[in-house]
Amino acid sequence: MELPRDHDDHPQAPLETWQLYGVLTTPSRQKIAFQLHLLAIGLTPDPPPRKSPWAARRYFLGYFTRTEAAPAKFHVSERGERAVLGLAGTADGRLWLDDWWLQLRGDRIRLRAGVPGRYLTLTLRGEEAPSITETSAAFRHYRLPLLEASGKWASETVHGFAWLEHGWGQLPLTGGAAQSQRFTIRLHDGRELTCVDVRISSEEPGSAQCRLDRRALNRVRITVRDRWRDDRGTRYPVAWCLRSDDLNLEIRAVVPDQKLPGPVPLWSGWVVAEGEGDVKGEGFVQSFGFLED
Amino acid sequence: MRSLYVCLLLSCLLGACQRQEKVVYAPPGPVPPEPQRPGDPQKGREALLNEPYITCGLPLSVYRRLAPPAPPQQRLPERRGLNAELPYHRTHYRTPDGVDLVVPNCLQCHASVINGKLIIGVGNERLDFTRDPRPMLKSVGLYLSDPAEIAHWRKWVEILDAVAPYLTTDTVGVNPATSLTLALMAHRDPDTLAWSDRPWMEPPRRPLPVSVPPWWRLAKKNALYYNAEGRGDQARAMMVGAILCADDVATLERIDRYAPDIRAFFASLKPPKFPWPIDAELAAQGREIFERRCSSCHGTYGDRPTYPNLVVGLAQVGTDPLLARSGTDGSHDRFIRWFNRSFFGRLSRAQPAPGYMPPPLDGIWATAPFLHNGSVPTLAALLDSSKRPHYWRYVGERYDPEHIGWSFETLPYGKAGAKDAEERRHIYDTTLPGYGNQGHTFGDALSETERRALLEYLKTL
Repeated sequence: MELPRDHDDHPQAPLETWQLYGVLTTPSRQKIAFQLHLLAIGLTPDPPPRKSPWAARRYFLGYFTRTEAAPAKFHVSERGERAVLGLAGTADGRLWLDDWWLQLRGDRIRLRAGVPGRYLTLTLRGEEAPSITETSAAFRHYRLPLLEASGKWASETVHGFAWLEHGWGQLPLTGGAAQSQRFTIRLHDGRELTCVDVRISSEEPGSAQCRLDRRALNRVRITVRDRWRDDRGTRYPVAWCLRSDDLNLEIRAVVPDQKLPGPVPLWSGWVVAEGEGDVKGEGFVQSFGFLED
Repeated sequence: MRSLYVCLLLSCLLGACQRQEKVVYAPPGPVPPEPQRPGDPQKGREALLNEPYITCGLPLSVYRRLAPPAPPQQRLPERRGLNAELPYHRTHYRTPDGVDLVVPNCLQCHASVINGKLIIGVGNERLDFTRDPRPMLKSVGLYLSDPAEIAHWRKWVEILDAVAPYLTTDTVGVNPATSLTLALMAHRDPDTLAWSDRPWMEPPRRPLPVSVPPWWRLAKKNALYYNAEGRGDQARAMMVGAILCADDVATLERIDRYAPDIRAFFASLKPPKFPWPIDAELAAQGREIFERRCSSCHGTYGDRPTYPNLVVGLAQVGTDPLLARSGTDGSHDRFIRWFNRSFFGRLSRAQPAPGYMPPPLDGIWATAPFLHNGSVPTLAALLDSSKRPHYWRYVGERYDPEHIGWSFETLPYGKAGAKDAEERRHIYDTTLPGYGNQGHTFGDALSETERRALLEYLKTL
């Protein structure tokens, strides 16, 4: 991985993802979480040269979510287009899907997504260098740490914080033999907690690796406290206990049902955290891989 | 009747005690030669590069998806079948139930690229064992769906789950082979090799750092390993690495059929020649110094080489004692018993000595860093203890032909002063237990001119 070169898109990759998620506050101090997931799915590794304007190499999928805490609400809207005729694509640091777009080049990141009449437009900026989180040959991935976010949701002014993640590589299999849980949490003192927990059964303790402001936490153990069952009977973790030598946290989903539709079952949602010494925080958890029925 | 039972019970217990093999350490001093099974070096090379002596790894299907194709410089033309497409340090293995796996092989630790050339047999001193391998290995499961493949991947996860704490070092470059082997013994039955999730005995807590010795030393050494603990048949003793995955003695017997050939290949290896210019006149002066001051321990070189095969006591050599002491202070006796009772003990035996074997110095230029724990980054620093850094780290991948060793920089602080974990794992800190760079100060008495000459001579070996 080499930055800034790899900020650009990777059309050869079987899958490329951009995920922007954050927590915003309105003037009336209401908190709203949003997520924008854009996926570019490769249709064929080496397409023959075709002159047809309908010849597509990638299919773009997008999910935009809005989560409110009180009353609990989760809404997800979905878009999908082939990258032809300007319907979706990437060019000059900008990617778009229908009328959703993400501008990545320049000193600020900008986005526009939502549903007709209620679009979110945001400007994001951050100071810190990207954090490279996965560098296996299978999937390369980095995250821009805490970005300041400001903009408008419909006519309402919003501000808050967000993260941007960009990854490309192989698409995990639906119903694979492992489960991955990724935690990205901003503590109220400004520190950033990130964890990856991979496990091969719900009984085993898992292999969690966590960093607090990029410093590795010692002897981390994450246990699932509670699960939520969707209408097909699949159970997704929605409450966790994180124990380590340096930090202990109870983490829970603000709304249990924050499952995204799509080719890979993915629970991706807004969570809050509380710990010893009045530690508080909020952020996001993503779970994918095998899930219990 | 009751007294009869008590007697029977007592006699059974006493019998069990008597069956526990007595541990015998070897004294310092000469190490006598022992018979070795003959082998064919050509067949040995072929087996080393193609046979699956490690029998667990990743399913080929997922390996192809996840690992980048091996670059041409990592492929060896004489490898056959699917091995031809794999990097030299990976081997194809088809399991008895028909699953194709990609498994590690010996070259992961025993081959290295120096000055742009791959050298088979030299220790890989730049490997990074500081990362816990489990999260990455477990995440492979995200890409698996075939039940047979999942079963083999799970077995690999199970083994690494158990031994990862003993495999993970705190410094990039040092090798945890000794600690890994002991941890595997702890989880395997010595008679059947059956795996137990819970260890039968407690493995040592911290991996002791070890520098990987070159294979070509086998041509001269009568015992394996730094403390000369590998006695008897060397081919059998070297196979112990196979217990990473071998679940039964039959697997070891299969490997044992070609193990003497592999040993013969190791002994036939010629050390690489120093690839930079040598001042022949200066080297000739250095030879005189060497034969006067070094050869009684390290032997002589040239047309009629000699090698004394000695274990030098800790008081005499003065290097970090922890590795040698751990073999003879009783703390490893349970592992010595395990080895001597197992399939390996039928032809070879573990018999450590309280000291270290001064190695033959053939190809010494290519074997940096120096001393058994790799604590001295260059030969120049080995010959002048005042130049040995307390804290150091590698810089880039350049081999320094002047001082003889990988390029490094001296640091003013050790691991305790590192700004973060990332920096800490790159710092070689000689103040830590087992990492000491003391001892072997025999070069200190030489003048600077004599040391330069000796260094030049060492390039010729």
